[in-house]
Amino acid sequence: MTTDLRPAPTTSGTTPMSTTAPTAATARSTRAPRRPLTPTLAYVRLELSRTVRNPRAILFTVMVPILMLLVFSGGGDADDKKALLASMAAYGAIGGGLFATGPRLTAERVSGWLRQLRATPLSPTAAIVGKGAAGLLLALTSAFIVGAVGRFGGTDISTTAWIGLCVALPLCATVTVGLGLLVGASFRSPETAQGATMLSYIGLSALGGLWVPPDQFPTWLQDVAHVLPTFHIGEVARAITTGGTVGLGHCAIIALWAVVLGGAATVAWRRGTTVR
Amino acid sequence: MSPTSPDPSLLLDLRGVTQRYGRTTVLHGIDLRVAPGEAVALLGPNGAGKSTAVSVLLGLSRPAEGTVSVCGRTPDHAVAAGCVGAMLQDAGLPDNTKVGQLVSLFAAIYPDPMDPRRALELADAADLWDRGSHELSGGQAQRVRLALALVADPELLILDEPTAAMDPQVRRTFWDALRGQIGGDRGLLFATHHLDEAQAVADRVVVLAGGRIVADGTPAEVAARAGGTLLRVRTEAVAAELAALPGVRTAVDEPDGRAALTCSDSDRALRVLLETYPDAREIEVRPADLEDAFLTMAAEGWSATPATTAPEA
Repeated sequence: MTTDLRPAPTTSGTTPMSTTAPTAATARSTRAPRRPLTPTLAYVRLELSRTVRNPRAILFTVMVPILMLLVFSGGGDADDKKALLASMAAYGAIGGGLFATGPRLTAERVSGWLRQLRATPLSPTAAIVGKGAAGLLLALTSAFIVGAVGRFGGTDISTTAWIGLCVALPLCATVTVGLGLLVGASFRSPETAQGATMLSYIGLSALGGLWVPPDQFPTWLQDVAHVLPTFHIGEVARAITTGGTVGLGHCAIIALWAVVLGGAATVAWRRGTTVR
Repeated sequence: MSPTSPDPSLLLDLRGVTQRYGRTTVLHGIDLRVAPGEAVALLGPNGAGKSTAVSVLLGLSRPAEGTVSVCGRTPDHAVAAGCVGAMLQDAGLPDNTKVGQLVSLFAAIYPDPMDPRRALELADAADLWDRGSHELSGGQAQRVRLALALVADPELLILDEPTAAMDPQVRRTFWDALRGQIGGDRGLLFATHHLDEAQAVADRVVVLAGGRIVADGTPAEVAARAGGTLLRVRTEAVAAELAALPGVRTAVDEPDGRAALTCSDSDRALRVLLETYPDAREIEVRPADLEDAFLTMAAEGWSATPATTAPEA
């Protein structure tokens, strides 16, 4: 159903790592790395472990959506409740994409850790890819737990819908992973990166209609909402929980956002690493 | 060999490397070489260009002029192939990780690493394995960074102030262990403020000041060229008067009230000294060591000493 959603192309065209052919006159070049992918996988594994240890990220992406679910779940019929659950799951998932990437990447760039990595066979691209993977893991965790609340709590969504959220929302979170990578490349201090992350998180969630159903917006604000990826992510999630059809148009717009933000992040990181 | 074709048998071969930041030239055509099995100390005052030289040889910045060859390759390729490993001075450690995880990560990154626990042990940080990266003191973080470089166990190891966070007793153990570990054909380039370390550990000493190589030779050669003989004496005369004596290059007042004279001709200086200042006593004469040489070079404004190979202009 969501096959047209592809991860943002942040990993494409990366700098050559261990596969680089040595030039002539390299008598000492016999030591080849064992398996080219091992360093990147090792780094991704470390990133995933760091994500699980990060209480703030879990708080924002799991606890807050569940709390808001409790606060808002007073009125409405069964379908309203299912739509609310979908919105909150989407809200948590996009937060996962943002919080695992932006502020942490800025901190590591500013502290010189990424520079240290550049002096190793692990390219900094692996660090960025690792952050992206951590963002998707966090999105999956959020979708899984918030979805579980929907499956076994009062909302009573189907198991298919629960699984559907776990598949679709991490794919949708590629948009905020791209945004987070862009934030990570753009700010000079972790504090401003944190601020920009919070601002875009709240802005995208509120204006995209994840907190208040977008059909309750004034007309002009609905026009704004329809441009934002979060609106379309919400539409996809709501279609999954209420048993509707996932519109391909929504998927196309989400994919477009992922490509644009991922491309911008790639350009920003390339520029950053050649200057420093 | 022409200055543009690097020697592939060397682990490190910098030729005529010039680097500028904006309008400031921080390296003026330096040559720097490390042969297999060689330990080279890179010395120099702060701001001499040591960090810039390290950046250039790791491919972190591209030189404006000159050629750089690391393990017979370009710096980028050498770094990617894992034949060079480096400890950078000021890199922060990422949060939400444990020390053991970080060192293991670096072991997974390099083609031929040493055991992660062994690397921590060498760096005097064996007890930090389970420690969170955010719980480390400055000195502990420094030693963990050292372990990250050591675990790579590369052909060419670059260490920037490796013992800055160690006790004197531990420093000695560290160097003994490191020499044992990296013996054979591996090369070591290290920067240090402890000149006794350079004297004891380095096969060759390169002094960088103001972006130029001002001395390059064995510790004994550099000490002799720049220092000559050191003469210590207690007398009523102050250093400025003693500096005027024949055969004396520089003179400084020492904290214990004696004066330290660096002499190009200590015999002559001593004869005149005893004639001119009969109160002279507690006289000590010994060959200058690296530390004395370093102080002399600093006092003379870091000009290249005549006996050293002058850097190409």
